[in-house]
Amino acid sequence: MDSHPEIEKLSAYYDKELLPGEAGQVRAHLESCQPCKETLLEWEKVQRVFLKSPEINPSAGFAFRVMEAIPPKQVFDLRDLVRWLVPTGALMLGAVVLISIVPLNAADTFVMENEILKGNAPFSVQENTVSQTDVSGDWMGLEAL
Amino acid sequence: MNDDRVLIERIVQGDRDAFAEVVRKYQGPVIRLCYSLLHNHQEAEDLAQEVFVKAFYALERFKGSSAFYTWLYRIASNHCLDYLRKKSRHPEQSWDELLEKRGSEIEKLLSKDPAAGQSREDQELVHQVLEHVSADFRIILVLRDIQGLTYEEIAQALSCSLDAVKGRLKRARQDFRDKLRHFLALRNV
Repeated sequence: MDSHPEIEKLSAYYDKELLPGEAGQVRAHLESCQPCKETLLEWEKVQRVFLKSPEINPSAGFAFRVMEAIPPKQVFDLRDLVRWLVPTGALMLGAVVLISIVPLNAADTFVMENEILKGNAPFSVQENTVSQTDVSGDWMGLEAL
Repeated sequence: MNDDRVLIERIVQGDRDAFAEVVRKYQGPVIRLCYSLLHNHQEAEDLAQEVFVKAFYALERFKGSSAFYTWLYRIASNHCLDYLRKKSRHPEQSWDELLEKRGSEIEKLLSKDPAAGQSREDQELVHQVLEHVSADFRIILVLRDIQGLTYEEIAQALSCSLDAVKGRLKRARQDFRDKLRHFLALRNV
């Protein structure tokens, strides 16, 4: 490799992420290329000074505080979900059935009442209705006695 | 990593102690990841705590297509980035001002024996320098150079492609090197 490798390739070489063949090519180039070698040395320097693993550890009781922040009942349990879903599903099904029946009956009653008010009640209804004549006249058939 | 799968199964079945075990196992790496981005121990612990709580509630959505710790790092990275964006921290002084005031200290820091530890003042200076590196660059440098994740793991943690990882790392390193070019060049003379 005579020409300089692309910076991206040099960066992957630095991270040991190149395939063996490619890494070999870059290594061979570095043997004779001072600028590329310096680039790697500078990255290494920057990493050692500015990207050091911080020497800090969790304070005592950290895990305890995390667990305290999660209420016990919130622990995910599939069985809880099933226990909750079954009655809820049954209730919802019942509600759907009720909703689909009740409005039909209500609508029938409404239509019938409307027809009666207009005087167009169905025959069976008229037959059982007490007429004005019946009320004012001999509705008990007393005259015949 | 199979241990993680067993622990996760136990958690999903409602075993609270299994989650406490996960917290104890990963508290160090997660707090260090948060600290590397925030440079404040208390804030790092607070955020790490929120990360674990988030992870707990999201665990049922964990499909196991990636390692558990890269999934945890994804939550931690996103949480820290969100926090940094909300706080919209701007460095107290511009890069030029920092170089003018503390350039000689940066130069000394770069010439120190890498094996020697950093004093509190050194760490504070490192923090001031890092504040001038964008959060997106900082997170990928932290995941690679501090946490030691592979490109594949970084891609999983940041939900991006391998090419994006390579490209972003290259730009992050170049950006950082350009900022310090003056001092690095002096060192190479």
